[in-house]
Amino acid sequence: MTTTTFEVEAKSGLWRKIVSALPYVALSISIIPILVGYYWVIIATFSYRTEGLFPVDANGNIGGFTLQNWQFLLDPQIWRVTLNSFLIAIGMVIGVGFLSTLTGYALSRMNFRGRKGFLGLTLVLHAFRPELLLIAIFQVLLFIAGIPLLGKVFGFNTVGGVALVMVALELPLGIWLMKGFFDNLSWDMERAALIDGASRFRVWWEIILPQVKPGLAALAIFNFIAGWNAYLIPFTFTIGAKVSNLSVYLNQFSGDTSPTGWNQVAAVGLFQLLPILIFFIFTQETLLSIYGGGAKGGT
Amino acid sequence: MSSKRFRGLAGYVLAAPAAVLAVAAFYLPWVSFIVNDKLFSTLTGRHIAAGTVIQKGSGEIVFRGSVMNHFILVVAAVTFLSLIVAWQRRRLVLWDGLALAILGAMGFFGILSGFGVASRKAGIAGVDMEMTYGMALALLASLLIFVAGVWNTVAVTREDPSVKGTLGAWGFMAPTAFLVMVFFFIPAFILFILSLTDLSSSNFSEPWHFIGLENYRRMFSDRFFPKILGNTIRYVSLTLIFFNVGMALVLALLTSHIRRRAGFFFRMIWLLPRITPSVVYIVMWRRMVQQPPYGIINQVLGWLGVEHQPYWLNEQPWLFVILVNGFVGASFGMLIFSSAIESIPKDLFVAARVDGASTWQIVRDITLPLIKWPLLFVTSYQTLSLLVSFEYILLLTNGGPGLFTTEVWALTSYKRALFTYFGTNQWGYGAAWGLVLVVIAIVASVVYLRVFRFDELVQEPKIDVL
Amino acid sequence: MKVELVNLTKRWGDVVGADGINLTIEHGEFVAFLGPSGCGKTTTLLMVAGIYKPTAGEILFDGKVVNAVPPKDRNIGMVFQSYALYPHMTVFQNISYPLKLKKVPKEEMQKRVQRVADMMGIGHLLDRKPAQLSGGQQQRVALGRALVKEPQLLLFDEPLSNLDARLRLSMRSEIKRLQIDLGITSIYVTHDQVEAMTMADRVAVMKDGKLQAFSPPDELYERPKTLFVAGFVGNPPMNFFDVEVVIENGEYHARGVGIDLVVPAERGEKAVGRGKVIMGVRPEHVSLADEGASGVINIVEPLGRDDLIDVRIGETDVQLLVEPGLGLRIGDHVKLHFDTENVQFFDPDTEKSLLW
Repeated sequence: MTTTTFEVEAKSGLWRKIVSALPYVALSISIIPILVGYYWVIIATFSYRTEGLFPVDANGNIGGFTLQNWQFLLDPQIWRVTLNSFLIAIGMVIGVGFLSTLTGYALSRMNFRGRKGFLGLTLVLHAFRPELLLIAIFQVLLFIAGIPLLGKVFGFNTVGGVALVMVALELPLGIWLMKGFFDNLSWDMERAALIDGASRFRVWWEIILPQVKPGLAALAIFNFIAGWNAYLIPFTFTIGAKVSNLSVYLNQFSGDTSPTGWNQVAAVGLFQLLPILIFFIFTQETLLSIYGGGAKGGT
Repeated sequence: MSSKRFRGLAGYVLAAPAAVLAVAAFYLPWVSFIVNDKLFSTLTGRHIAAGTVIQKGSGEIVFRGSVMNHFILVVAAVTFLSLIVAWQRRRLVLWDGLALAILGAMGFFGILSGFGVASRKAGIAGVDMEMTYGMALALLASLLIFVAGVWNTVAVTREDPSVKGTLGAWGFMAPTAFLVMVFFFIPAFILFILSLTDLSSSNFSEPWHFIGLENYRRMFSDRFFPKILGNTIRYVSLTLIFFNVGMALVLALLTSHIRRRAGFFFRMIWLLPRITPSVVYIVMWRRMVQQPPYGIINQVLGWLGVEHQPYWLNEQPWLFVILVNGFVGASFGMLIFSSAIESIPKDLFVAARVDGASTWQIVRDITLPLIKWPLLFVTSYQTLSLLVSFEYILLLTNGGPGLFTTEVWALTSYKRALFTYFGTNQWGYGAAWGLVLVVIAIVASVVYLRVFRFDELVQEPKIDVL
Repeated sequence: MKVELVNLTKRWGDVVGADGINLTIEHGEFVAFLGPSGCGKTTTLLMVAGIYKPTAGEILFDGKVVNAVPPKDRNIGMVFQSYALYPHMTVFQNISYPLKLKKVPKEEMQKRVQRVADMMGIGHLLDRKPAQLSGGQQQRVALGRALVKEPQLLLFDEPLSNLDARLRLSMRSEIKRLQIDLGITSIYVTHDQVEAMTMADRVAVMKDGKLQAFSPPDELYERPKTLFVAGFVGNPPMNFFDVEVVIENGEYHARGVGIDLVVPAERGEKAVGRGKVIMGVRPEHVSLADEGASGVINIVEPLGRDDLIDVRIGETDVQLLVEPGLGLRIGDHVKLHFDTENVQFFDPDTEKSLLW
């Protein structure tokens, strides 16, 4: 009688251990493809060739460490496209950051005619996915390209044009996000500033913006990543290396399927990944909150 | 009273003649004759300011006016309509001024852009292009209408100080409103118009026509239409079920039932695909599916003694389309579900444990019912996202292998319009495909905003002054 | 500055914030707006500040309508319940912000900030951030910020509610002293009647957006104009009875269930012959006695200095204060004496006083 009880307990103790380990096992298995992908990029970058998971040298033996894949850094074109990627990313950080704090502030904290309508519109646009408008945005960019001066900066086939389109398409999300931050700020503080003699613009700039720095930082990271990674819009609206960005450059590069080509592709890929990985390491909490909170779900 | 009215209507004293002037400069031969429209009269005998210069096969150089030219008619019409309405009302409102200002600016940049496009085309054709007097006049007229609009706005502001506040607030909104106009509304309108035309790169310079619903007829009778429709349904439903909702839910449940730090770690790893540049991400997957000896999957299969080691992307394209999209897509739902699960009061779980519920019973009877709304939200949101997204498919298979094997609706639209898939950019035809999705997307967004009561997140400002 | 509110009304759709407020505040006067939360006192204050736009009515400063004047041009200072300091600025920056906006030269700004800070006793804290200060210090900073621009009108929105009881007491007298010294017209919003009664020259009692009474504190207490004012002002609150006033043998009797009191003629005559009226007697005018209305003790609450007891007479509960240590228990039968000298009468329908 007593022994049976003990047996049952012992069994359940072991059973419980197995059960409590199961989630870890399942989760570990689930991330294998992701880790393998990253593993391959890092290994391939520094090796002559890879076969499956292993770096090999010219004779097919494991080894073959080399830095030759990084020769692309000597190519001035890579710096051109890197600069373009950076410009698009910074353009998005500044453009979306500035405009969505401006508009988000007005929508959250000002009482004016047309506010409700615009709020509803922002909401719908926030849910709306703009990829399919690219066909027509192409015509808009052609139109802008025809305007003297302006067309040289923001027209079709310019970095400015790509950045402008990306800023515009990302705005509804940014506005909605920032509006959420503004909604939670103290009304008394803003009233105090108005009574102290500030205009609404100064209130926004000197009193309100400093309070939403964390939100602004999150938005900036999100937009930097979005701008830096951008492929579809630069690919659609630019022709030629002078105005293309890292993603487009890399994709043309990877069209070639020769074995050495792959390793160079990996090197360029890692080069593009670096800023993202830095964000990943240093701003994990922020990343989780922005992609879980307000960010639009990608595919 | 009369002085106020005068000041208000004074803007129109400027705008109305300007509008007449602009239209006359464009359309009346004798006006154009007087101002000596030298380039275009020699080329076409018509007095239109901007357009395209083309060289026909016969070597003859022909100028074709751009549609943009006729925009001046809209400018003029709205100017007079506005005048009539304001006259009837006997006083000005804010819109009288703003409409004129916006329209004037649009006219100004429209003509300028038309000229820019025309002169570039002319340059390609080897023809010198000069600004005509008619065009210069129209430019001037647009500018005058703009000034009149500003004038009227100022007049209204003087009469009613509360307008100043509204204007100030719209100052905060204006840049965004402008971008939303230019990159959402106008494109949506253009898309609609395009879908009714036969505009394509093969006849971009040639006359193009409104062809009614021909594009739509062609779309529905396309040989591959059923295939593409089926692909779209398959892509959306499978990715959604297995990853964006299914895997997301499993991950959220698992990561929130283990130690906090560990759960956080797994979530971060799952977030990686989403923040990885799409191109790099695809390169990783492409490497996995390669033939031996390069492919990683095949190497593992080799260890397991499996002989069949093909190029997996051609062998199982759908499997990988869904995997590639799914590994990106799962994290959104995962994060939403996790925060929903973590906000469930811990007492509920403890109470259920005390009552003797098993883990599975707790999930089924407590967790799932409590995250019903997040589940519904993610499902509807991601359905829409998947329906219109195509970037990863474009990069991975480009709709292949072979004909339309993995081509989805959104990709078809994009490729027909902007990809020289069949040698030409068929903007009109692609727009027809796209418009269908755009309409679905708009309707869906509105519906689910209603369902999820997003409007309740909107609070009233607690400061009246502007 | 003289402040006049004329028929001041604020509505959000169907929700009424303030409803036809009429009152005049004389130059240099300290006025309290008193009422329960949601009575519209803060709404009215914010309209005076210019933050809310009135739906109807006018606000006059020194005889001039200021409805369309933005807050920054009204020359007012305001102190908030939440202090509303700018968390990213130091104390100095907080106090100097109004001067910076007015483009006051650096040196003068320095001097004025220092003077105000010293006056508030926070001169040594100028480099700190608000988060490093205690609640009392923060409120002094807020007060300093309101005073530094030398406003003509000071507005207080429950400034002491977030402070603990002791600090509240000392700040109360400090604010009052400052106001007398500087002679600035002040409006003080509070739900605490003690604050209102001790600080204000005149108290405006509000309920549901309507002005109930506007009079000096003693008058408010002794001659309440409405049933609401009578019940709201005074702690413990006034006791009310449903009675009928009749004349018998030349004396005015107020009769209710279990109660029959002789009331002074000059008060009784205004309530006589009206059928049912409401009679109010303050707790301090009720005492235990050997003769009088009899009742049963319902509750005994020791308050320290006194015991508050609740006696049921008929259907009415009567509260009164008694010496502690009498050994009273729930269920004891006692007799109550009513001092009817200050008895109040109200019309049960209009809830207006029949006396004043």
